[in-house]
Amino acid sequence: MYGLIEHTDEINRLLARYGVKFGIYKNNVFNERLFPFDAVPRIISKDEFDYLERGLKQRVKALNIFLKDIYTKKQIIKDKIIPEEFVYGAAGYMMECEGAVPPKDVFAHISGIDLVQGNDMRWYVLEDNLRVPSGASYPMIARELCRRASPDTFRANTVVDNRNYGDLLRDALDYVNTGGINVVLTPGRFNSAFFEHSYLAEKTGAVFAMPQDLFVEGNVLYYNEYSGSRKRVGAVYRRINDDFMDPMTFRADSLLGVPHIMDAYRAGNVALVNAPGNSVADDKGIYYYVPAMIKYYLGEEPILSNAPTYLPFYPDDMKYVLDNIQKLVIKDVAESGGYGVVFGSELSLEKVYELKKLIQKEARRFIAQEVIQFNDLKVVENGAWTERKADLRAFVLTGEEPVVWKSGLTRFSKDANSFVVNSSQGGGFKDTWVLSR
Amino acid sequence: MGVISIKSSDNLFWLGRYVERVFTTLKAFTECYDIMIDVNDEEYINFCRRLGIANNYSCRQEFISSFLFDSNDPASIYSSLLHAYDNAVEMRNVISSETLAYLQLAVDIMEKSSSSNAPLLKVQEVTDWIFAFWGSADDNIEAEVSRNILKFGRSVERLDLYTRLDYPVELLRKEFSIMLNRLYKVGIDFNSHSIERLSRMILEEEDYTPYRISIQNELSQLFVTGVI
Repeated sequence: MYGLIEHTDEINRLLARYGVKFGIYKNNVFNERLFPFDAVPRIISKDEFDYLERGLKQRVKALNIFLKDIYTKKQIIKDKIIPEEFVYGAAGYMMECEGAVPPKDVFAHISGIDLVQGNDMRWYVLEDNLRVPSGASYPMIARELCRRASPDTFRANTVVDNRNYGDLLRDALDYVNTGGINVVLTPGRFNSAFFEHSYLAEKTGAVFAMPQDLFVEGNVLYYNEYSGSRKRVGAVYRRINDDFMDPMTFRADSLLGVPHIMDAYRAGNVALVNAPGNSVADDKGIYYYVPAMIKYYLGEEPILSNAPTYLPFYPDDMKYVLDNIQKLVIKDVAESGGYGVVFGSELSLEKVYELKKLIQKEARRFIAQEVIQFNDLKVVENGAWTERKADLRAFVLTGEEPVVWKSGLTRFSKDANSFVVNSSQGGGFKDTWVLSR
Repeated sequence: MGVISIKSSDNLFWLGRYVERVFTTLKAFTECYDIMIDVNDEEYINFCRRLGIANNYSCRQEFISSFLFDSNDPASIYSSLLHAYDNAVEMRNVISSETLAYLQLAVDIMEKSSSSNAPLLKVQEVTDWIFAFWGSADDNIEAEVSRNILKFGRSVERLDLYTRLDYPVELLRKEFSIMLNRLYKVGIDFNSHSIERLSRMILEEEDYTPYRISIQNELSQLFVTGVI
């Protein structure tokens, strides 16, 4: 392992060479940044990963059923497992998707489940990302370079190869493909995850498309070739948010979408990966109900735990949150990417007062969670060992059955005391090793 | 994978053009730089005139730093390289990460060279990476049509620059033949009248220099179809 770590700087230089970057807008200016890589891997034993794998599959299965239920029969609401205001009041619920069932009933083809490990070594799910979760390409390309940097490290450790993510993604696309080519649809060069879009197109062998390359005719989606001919499209791995995907259905001012793509989808003529409307299931308010969802749909006890979460919507929870706000983390359900997260312990008395008022006024807008004491991970910074908070984004790809990618994106915080690990907030990433024995 | 869109073909064409622009203007700049050492301090004025770019430079030194490294100077080599990169980055899946990496390396060297006290030594590496870029493109671009569009762009840029820089007619004729071959392979509708006129000026006339501007104009009209 030390043979690997001593090459950290060279690996970072090679990552830069391959354009491994993410974009960030600050003051309306687009900049591309390198995503700093720390060569000390997160190591997950076989047994531990087996446990995570079971839990992740179970969770994603339930979320998939939930999505179908919500946009069709709504049985979970009728049975009062989830209050309807949490579904219909969620920013991610899309009325336009009512009744639309995707090919082969798969809604969440690619799920990014964010977990943390507490210092009691238990894993907690922090978030379910079912819209367009990003980040798999980073550990995949880092692994390629790590193996070149220190082959002995990989000869000595039984690390499962993670460079098959492109194959898994292609399998997921092929499974739901309705007949035609696979396409990776990017909103364009200035999207924050553009590197990943283009890299995954390369690795899956899919056609890389911009919105203007696609058009719909007779409820069928086509790719417009330079020669004037057209190719039918069977599956679109779209990296465009729902709101912008089809100006005829969602935001009329969207210049990023493909007009009538939703008509082709509703007609069952194309698979949209992930399915539109998924964001209702990764709403921070709905997250609270995922354990109940698992019991309800699968009749099983949840394998993975949520972080202890309170919904101020419920009077008891409201009281607890108001009484204990300074030891909780408060999250605005409408925000993502590390924004809208407030640690009560970091607020002045005046700010605490203001936040309490806001929570009382807009109870549905917030969730509160106990601060999990992370099992910090080792990183090497300027040649010295230190520790950082880190999470793990696990990727579950669903075709006929959910498959958990035997790796994941481990992100760590920029500063020692920070809990915020998002790349947009300046953090770095690690490879995630899953041991085969 | 041979499926590409109009936008992608445009990216490939301009990628080929901009990479070639960097390569050939860098070579020409190096010659000009040498002349400015001890023959003619103001050779850059001739250089700008030949290339057909505005001479907005107040002195030799400003020309050297700006023409090489100023991203705000649209004529600069650095600007051309950034344009090449912008086109390439959208084509990663076609040209491959390996091929894209060579342009990234060229951009990195260009950025480092701007603070060097011997920039011409450093920018030699840009030429090296461009050679590597073409080698990688040949090896890694699977679809023949994509390779042809990219190289067609290179040929068009070469012909344009060769006429500006007074390259020998033999070189011009050789490149024109290569361009024609690629044009037919690409299979895009083109302006056959332009091709006829180019053939006359390049292949039949002994001296092409009186037609320099006409050749450049015809090259820019290659895809304007329906023109009589």
